[in-house]
Amino acid sequence: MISNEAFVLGCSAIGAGLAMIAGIGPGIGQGIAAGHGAAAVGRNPGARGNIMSTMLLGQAVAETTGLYGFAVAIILLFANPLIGKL
Amino acid sequence: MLSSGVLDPQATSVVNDEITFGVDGLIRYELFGHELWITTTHISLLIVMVVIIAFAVVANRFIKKADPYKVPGKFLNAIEYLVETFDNLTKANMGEKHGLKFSNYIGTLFIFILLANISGLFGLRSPTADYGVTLALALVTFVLIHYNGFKYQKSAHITNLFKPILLTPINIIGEIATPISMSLRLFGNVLSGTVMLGLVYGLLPKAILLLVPAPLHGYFDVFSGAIQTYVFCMLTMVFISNTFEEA
Amino acid sequence: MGNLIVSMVNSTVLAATKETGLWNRIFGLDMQLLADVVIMGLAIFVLFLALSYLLFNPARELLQKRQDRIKEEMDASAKDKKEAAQLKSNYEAKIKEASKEVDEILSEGRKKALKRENEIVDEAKMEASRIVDRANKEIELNKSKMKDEVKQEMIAVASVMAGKIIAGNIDESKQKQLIDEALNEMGDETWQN
Repeated sequence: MISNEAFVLGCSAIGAGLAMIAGIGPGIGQGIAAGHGAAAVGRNPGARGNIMSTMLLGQAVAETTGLYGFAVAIILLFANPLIGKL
Repeated sequence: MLSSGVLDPQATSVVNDEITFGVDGLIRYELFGHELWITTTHISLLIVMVVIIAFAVVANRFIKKADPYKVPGKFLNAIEYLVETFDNLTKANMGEKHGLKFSNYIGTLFIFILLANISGLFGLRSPTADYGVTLALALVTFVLIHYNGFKYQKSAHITNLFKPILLTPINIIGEIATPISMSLRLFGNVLSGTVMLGLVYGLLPKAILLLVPAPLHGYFDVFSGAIQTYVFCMLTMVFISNTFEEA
Repeated sequence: MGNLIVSMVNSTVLAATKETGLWNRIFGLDMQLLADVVIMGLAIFVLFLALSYLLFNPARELLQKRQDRIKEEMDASAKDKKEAAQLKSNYEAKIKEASKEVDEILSEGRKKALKRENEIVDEAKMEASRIVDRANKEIELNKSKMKDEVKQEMIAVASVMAGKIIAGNIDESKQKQLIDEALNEMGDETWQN
């Protein structure tokens, strides 16, 4: 039989893996932002600096959800609150 | 210590069996009955601070010696360029009227986060890969946001939360989420770099380690670090300057 | 506080941690996080003060000083330039005035000279005409005098000749009368030419 701890740890690892699915969204979003940024630079090369900074800022904000997922994964792997519940 | 498995002279196996990228405790102390540690983060923090303050002292001596009626030297030029860049950045993002007041803090923040992020290059564990550090920085921003909010919008800063009344919970959560998302963003980015490099250092044979980590350091420490520094400073400026608009 | 110092003295570096198992973590929401936040808050505050005092404010002051100095110099040079321009325009105006004066003087002189010339010419003409008049009058006078003389001479010659030709039957007065009649009949033109 599997011990309780091993079960919780295994499920936590699966949960961490699932949490990292959150990385899909920011990946797509950042890609779209970068694509539009490239199009904007192509249309107006003079405003390159402004476009770059706006794009980076938007990407950073879009990245937040992915980082929430990352934080959850890290917590499940390294600071597991579920073990204490046993 | 940073990937102590690699640095450990006892380790002879090609693939290191110990992979660490967490914060190590060095000195244990007790405060109010709690067991607390002085960690590698604090050591890195101290080193980064010493470097920054040493730079500032040297710069200060150059500035004190400088004669405004003469052409400045190279180092002095660099210092002036740095200061002017921060002044222009804050002025551009927070307006001519209020920008200059925050230039010192934004400059400090920028220099500290940048050095902290690229300190991974010098074998330190980045201080910003510890949630305690980034949370503190984000909380300072949080305090600044609400201090300026009350200063410039008076009571409207509170009543704006209940407008429209149905969105009150979302508004409140949004306010609280600001420092959490800011701190998690910086922490997550730097930590992911640290984790990736820790895995690389831990899993690859030593012979390959001479070549492989260099571009990874270049990306995770320098590029990502610089971008996250910029983003953190920009978000701080944007959030604070949002409170300047009279209600 | 005393408790803290005692515990810090008692705690040994790393070796102690190895005894109790390596303390290692990545993320945790506990008192350690709170302590880290407080320490980092103090650290960023110290950094802020140090950098403001040592780097940013003196550098900004230096920049301000240099800016002021450059502004001063630029203002001074602008003032100099303005003064020079004014001086130049003054001189130009003066030169223009002078040339105008010269023109005036020249034209006046020319006018005067022309007038004087005319005067001189007029005077000369008048003088000349006067001289011509006088000469004419003199000529007239001389002519009439000569006419009278010639008349007297002719009368005398004629009377002598007539007396010689018709001596005897005609007395002297009758003879004179006849000759005058004859002369008058002939007319002045006849004998003068």
